Amino acid sequence: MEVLVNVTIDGQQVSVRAGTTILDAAKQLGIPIPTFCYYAKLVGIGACRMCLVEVEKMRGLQTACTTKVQEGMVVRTNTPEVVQTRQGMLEFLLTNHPLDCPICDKGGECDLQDQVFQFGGTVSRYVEEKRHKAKAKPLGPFVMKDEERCILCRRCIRFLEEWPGDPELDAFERGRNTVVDTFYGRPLTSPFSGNVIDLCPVGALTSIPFRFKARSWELKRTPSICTLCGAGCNLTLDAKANRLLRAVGRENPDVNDEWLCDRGRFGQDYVRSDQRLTSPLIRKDGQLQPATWDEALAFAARRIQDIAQTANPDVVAAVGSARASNEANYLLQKWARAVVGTNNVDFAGRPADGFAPLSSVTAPLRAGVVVLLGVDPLGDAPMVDLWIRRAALTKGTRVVAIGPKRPVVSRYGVWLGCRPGTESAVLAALLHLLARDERVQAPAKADLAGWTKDYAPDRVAEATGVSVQALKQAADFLAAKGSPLVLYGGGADLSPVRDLLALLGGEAGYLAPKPNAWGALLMGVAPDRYPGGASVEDAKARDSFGKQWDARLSPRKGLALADMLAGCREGIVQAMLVVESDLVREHPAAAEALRTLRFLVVVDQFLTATAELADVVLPSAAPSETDGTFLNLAKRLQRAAQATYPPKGVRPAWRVIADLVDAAQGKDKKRGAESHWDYETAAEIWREITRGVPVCRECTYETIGTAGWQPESAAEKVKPVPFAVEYPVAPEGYPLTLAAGQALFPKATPARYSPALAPVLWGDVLLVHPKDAEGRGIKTGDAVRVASARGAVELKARLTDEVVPGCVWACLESVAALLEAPDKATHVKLSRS
Amino acid sequence: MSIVNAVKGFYQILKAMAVTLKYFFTKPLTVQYPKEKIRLYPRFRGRHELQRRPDGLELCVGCGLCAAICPARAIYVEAAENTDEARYSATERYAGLYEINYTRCIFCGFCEEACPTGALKLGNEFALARASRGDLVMGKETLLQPATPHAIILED
Ligand code: SF4
Ligand code: SF4
Ligand code: SF4
Ligand code: SF4
Ligand code: FES
Repeated sequence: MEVLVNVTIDGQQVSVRAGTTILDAAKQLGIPIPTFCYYAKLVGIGACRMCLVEVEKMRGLQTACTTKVQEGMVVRTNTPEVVQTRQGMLEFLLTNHPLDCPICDKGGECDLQDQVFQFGGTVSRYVEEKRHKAKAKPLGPFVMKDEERCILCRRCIRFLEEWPGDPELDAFERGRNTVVDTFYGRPLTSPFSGNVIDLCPVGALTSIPFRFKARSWELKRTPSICTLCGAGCNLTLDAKANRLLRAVGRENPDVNDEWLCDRGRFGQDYVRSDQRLTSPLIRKDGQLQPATWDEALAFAARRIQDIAQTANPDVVAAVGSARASNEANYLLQKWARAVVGTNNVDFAGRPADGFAPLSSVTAPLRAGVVVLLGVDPLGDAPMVDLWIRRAALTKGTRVVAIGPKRPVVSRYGVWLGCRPGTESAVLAALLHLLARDERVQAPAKADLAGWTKDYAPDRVAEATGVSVQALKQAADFLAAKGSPLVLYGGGADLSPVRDLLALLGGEAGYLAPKPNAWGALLMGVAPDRYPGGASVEDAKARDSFGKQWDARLSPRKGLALADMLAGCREGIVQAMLVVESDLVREHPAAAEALRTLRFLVVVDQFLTATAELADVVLPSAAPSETDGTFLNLAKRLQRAAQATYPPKGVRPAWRVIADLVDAAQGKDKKRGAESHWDYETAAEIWREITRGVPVCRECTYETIGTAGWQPESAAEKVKPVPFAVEYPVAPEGYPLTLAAGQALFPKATPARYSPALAPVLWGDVLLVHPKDAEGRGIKTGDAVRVASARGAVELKARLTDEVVPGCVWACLESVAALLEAPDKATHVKLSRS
Repeated sequence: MSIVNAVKGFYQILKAMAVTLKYFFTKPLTVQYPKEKIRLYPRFRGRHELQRRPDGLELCVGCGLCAAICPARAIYVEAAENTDEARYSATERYAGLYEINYTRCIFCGFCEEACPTGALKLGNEFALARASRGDLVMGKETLLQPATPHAIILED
């Protein structure tokens, strides 16, 4: 039951919940009380004394941010004493403040400026020399510190403690010599370090990449979303003179609260990279050479038409992207189906059948235990990582990480390090323990006890190398806390996950690492599905889309991406259009396959490894340069809005596809005749999409707004299923297993082109366990050769116990060529080179 | 009463002619510019001049306040950071790009007033005609040069 208490503030009555602070009660009445150290999302500490107010029957002034209201309390916020005290507090702050405003990046959005203006005195009585401290001292790669400007509110310190749980900052020295610093001068390494820049009320912590780039009032501010991972954090893109200069977090409690990870905050500047493509390229005499749009579009359209006509439409394939907007993906599949006449459409990273989205990016807050099944959220979706940390710190949520590489968040629980391919066995051992635990009450218990009888912890421990003790601890967390949240990656075996949910409830979701995996799927970028999910073999759906698109649609299922690539070599696929997907860096065998094509068109922002193989390259705009919608890993529909214009000579991907159709229709296209491809804006495409996709029917760009829209999802009932565990057997000569994943600052497109991320990008590094390195004479920094049956690459070794013995780990971009399948761990051998 | 009107009109003409006649015999105001110099009051607001410190460093720190106040949006500033090798101003920051567009400027002097460092002064140079619009956008190289106006500066 809520207890309400009545308080009077400045003569106005209000009833608020017991436990509310005076500050929050005053906010409800719209009475302003100045603050510095108070921050709604951090624990109050009453450090700055800016918020002092008078409370009847209490001696001295009280801090409004920490004093809780009581029944009958009478508060005054504007007595002469309060006003004078505020002025005094501000004067004290200013005695030690350098008044750097003209050269300070916070100027114009600085709490100290605003409050001195509103509440401060007019003249300074301080004539002595001010104190001097370090200025422009970098704290890590992104944050610049100016000690003179710090007002010691401790927001930065508290944020790092209370949200990511990386207590890297603290206050040192005493009195007016106090400074905020890292321990032993170490660099600030928290993956969420950039948030302290927004939090710092003054210019003591500023952004290094944004340093002196613009004054705050010069910026054009566009509410948008981050498209550098699947979380889809809400942010504001700030541009000056058509240059995207910074990103700051934007409040959305259902996604990122108001935080950003450092990849999202600093990585957006890839759009300003000098490696951007600004003109179409056509291969002439074996070389890609600049061409005009008309030339390139006409050439591409004609060649694809020729190939489709001489063979049949099914030799053409279209590859969409989980990085591209719904609008671009939709037009791509419409092009393939309605213009070319094939269902050969797919994209890399398509969620497999049975995969489910998370209920929300904030799902960890509602979980008792977070089970990481072979994924590391810090690389795949850093914001989910932050929510796991927050849940662990505030709710005692535990983490059970199963996989070859130890995630940072496993510090809140246990890491069951096992080689890839054995995760199911480890889960089976956990199920074995849980089915025999009296704390677990579920009808499925008896069944599971039977099915898992062969997976007693000691046997699984022997087969996988996970210790019995760790298994028992993980099972104990699960039994004690219940309601697990299982996060899995591509290629996961979901049967044991279902069993776990049947025992304990909770939810499981696919941790989509790309910003629009669910969107591309919903838009029908799949060989067997139309937009909205209807099967291409369903005659009714085919008719209705055929009518809408004014075309005869093919009733045959198309080729999935892996089959397309395999088909390239046999001539089953001869021409391909790839939109914003760097297949070569993501998909094994893509490089060889694409080389055998007769004709390849790539639409992308950069000359990626894939674009380098193309016959025609068409430059496309980044998400911040056009409008578009994205579906994040919780299937939340959000808008990425246009913050700047694309560079000269660059068009949005959706326009490129539409232009390609126009070029193909060429002279036949009657002037004024209605074309289905006359799109002026992305919003028009979206309107067309909503006509064909039932779930989006109600949504317009306006209703999605800046907050996004999440369709209701019904929790489905899970039935336990028996499953079989196979232990992978290493073939002769390939004793190690290579696991590939994503780093926080991956060398993937587009992050690899960001100037700000360049110094911290994950290099071509291979993580090797010291035990495996020993026999091979490998030391950290050595160049090593990893070879699988498919090929070999050279990387730099780093010895670490973050990986399990017998397993090496690298970023997907570095080793894609070695893998058997993009999500499949591969047997390799390792040697010094 | 047309005769009265005619007399009144004639009187008016005479009066006007008298004024003309008076100026016919006074010294003309016309200055034979450019043969002769123009006489200006010192607070006449002409082309901006960016000031330097006695040691030669620029006073401008690239804060952009002049650009913010300018009612004609004539000023564009992009700041940059000083390094030990290349130091332009005394603080961390200086104006990497500083441009005033004289097709826009209305010589109101607000920018001079807004400048926190006293770096910007509207000088007495008024000869601003240029052959192309582009030349009327003047950068730091020009604005840092104190102009020698073609004028005699009067006492204030
Ligand atoms: S650096 Fe900024 S956020 Fe941190 S204590 Fe100082 S003023 Fe507060
Ligand atoms: S968590 Fe993902 S979406 Fe959020 S800021 Fe980081 S990269 Fe962008
Ligand atoms: S004098 Fe007035 S119009 Fe001219 S640049 Fe300065 S503020 Fe702008
Ligand atoms: S001239 Fe003055 S106001 Fe303008 S940028 Fe330079 S220091 Fe700032
Ligand atoms: S805001 Fe209350 S003491 Fe700082």
